[in-house]
Amino acid sequence: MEMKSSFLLSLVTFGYFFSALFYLMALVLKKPGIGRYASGILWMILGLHTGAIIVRWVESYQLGIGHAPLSNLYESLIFFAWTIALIYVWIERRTGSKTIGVFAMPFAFLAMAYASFSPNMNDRIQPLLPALQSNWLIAHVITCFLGYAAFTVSCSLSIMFLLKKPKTKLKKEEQGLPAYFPEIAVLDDLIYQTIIIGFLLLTLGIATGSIWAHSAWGTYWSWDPKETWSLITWLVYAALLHARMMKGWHGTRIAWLSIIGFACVLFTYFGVNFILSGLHSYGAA
Amino acid sequence: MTTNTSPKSIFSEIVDFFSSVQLALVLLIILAVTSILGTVLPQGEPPAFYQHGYSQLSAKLINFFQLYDMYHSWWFQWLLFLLALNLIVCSLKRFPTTWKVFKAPPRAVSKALFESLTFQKTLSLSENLGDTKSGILSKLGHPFGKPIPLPAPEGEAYYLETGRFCRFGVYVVHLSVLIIFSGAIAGSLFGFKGFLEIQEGAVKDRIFLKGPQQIKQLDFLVRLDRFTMSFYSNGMPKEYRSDLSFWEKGQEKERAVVRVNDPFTYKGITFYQSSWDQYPLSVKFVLKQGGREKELLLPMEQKTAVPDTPFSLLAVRYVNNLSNLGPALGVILYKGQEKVDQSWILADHPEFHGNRLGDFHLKVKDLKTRYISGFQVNQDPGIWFIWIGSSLMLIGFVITFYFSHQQVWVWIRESKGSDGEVRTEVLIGATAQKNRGALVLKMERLTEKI
Repeated sequence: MEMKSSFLLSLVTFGYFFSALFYLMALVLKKPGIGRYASGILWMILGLHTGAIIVRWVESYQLGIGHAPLSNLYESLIFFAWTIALIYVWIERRTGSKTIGVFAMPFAFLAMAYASFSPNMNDRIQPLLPALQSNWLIAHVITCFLGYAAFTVSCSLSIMFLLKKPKTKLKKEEQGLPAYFPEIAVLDDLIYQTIIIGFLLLTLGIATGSIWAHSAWGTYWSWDPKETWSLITWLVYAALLHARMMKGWHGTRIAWLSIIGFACVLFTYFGVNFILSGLHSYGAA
Repeated sequence: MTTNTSPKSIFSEIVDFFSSVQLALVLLIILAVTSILGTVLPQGEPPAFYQHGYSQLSAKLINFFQLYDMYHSWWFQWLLFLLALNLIVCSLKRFPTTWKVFKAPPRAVSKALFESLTFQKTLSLSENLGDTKSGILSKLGHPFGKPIPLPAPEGEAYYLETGRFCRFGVYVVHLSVLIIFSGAIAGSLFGFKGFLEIQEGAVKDRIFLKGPQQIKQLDFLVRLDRFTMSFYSNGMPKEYRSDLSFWEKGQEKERAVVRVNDPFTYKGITFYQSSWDQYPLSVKFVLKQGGREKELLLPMEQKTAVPDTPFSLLAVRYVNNLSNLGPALGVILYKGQEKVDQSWILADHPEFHGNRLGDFHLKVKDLKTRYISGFQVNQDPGIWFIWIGSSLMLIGFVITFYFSHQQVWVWIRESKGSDGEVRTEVLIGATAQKNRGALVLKMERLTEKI
């Protein structure tokens, strides 16, 4: 059965590409007008993306195996891109700055592109194995990915901070493109705001995940690589928050810690699946 | 802290060390970095695995640092213990100060007070004192609650605040971590994890505990009344379901359905659907020898004579899926007492050339099996600590991240302008325990239209 949702989602992939491209053009060509197109495309594509996820959900019911489209790598990437776009839209509305889109939207595009173009990606709607039939799993996936997306945007903001910071001593005309970024203090505050959202959601994600594990297997924590890496990520951000709140760390050091935290997020999401599982099967062979 | 200048006592130095944020940061980072190890090195393998797979030195290190089970190793437990100690000492040390601040009455109004506040604004208005007062207080009253009158050297002074409880947010978070730790400890000390396999129709009253081969006697009987599986149209499993009944003193006390993700608890012991297997009862074969065919019913593990021949057959083993060829039976052919031949007979592939023993070609006609259902069986008295701890942690985060203790002082006085006109002078000041930028924005918005 040909999926309508798959077609819509490939449109979404191109949509995010053009949105990211327009954000970049607006910055590089110093034409804020183009930024309005970028935002316009983004809003339209976010709507289409939402629609496509709903269509995929409906299609799963038409196949008689109805479940929320959050059950495999393909669906998780689609949802991840959606959460990035959502968190970014919120930040853009809050700050009014379209330069953040240059750094945040490529992540949404990359997630979609990976889902759409990777040759090994299974985009079929498949029924749920008994262990996955749990509402806690849905809560777990939603909270984790919203958290991941907040960390993604935080990482984008940290990159902007690190690009802008060394230029702040220069005159505005000599700063180059970072002159158009939000002020250093605004970036620093946004990095913190997105991290606390991410940290709260990651905690909620780990908690709902352990409730699910407990009902499925009778253990709320079993130190498997995925769980452990989510804890490592959590510990890194916990250290960051202590450094910021108790030691008064700001700016550059927090930006670097935020990038390290995001690297842990990526490893928890992809690395555990591809590198560690490989190591394990290799070790066992 | 004492006021004399003598060197700090050893005790207070120890307290300082264990309550420091530096220690917390170092421990969080060490825990994060060392945790990586257990995700890279396979965990829980037998000693031989590490001896053969790694160099001699690595194997020794793995053994000494218990890296084969590193999250339960002595040093990792010590790190967790240090973190707990850090949390306790730091919270105990800071709490009295927080309590004092929490209990402290609002500071009296003075010029010096207003100058020390994060947000300050002075207004000079032509309305009289009474109108100004009610206007300002009703505006501020919406976010900050009821104004409390304060004594003032002249005019009138009021104090408003919100979120005094936020001072405790961080303690809620630290306490939640300790509650989760105690839940984990309670679970490992007073709980157990075991495994139970029951055949359909059979009754069990003991379970195998994980780790050292230990058996736990239950004070009730569990019976598997039925096990059922269902599949999606593409063959993927949809549901595994066990119908259990619990018996005491020969009487059925309770019936329950256990599915994956849907466990059942009886007398504090929880049963989780975990695996299944099939147990054969009997198999009916069609035996072909030369051109002749005959049927033979073979109960499992019972040597059965083939009529009119000196031969007999014994079905010794059954597997659900032999090398992806489906169910198979291990059958031995005897001539008198002598073993002549043995082979796997594939149930789903009747024409398979290996389905023969001696001169006989065997075809499975009817295979009667019974299911075995496997359960993870746990008792964890610490589980509620985990759930309560996790909930408290989230509540604590919301308090520490999104709320803060905000205090507002308003001082209203009458003053005479140079033209002799009576004007009302208003001083508004505010401060916050954290996130002062947000407070300033909020106050500017509130006082904009006065």
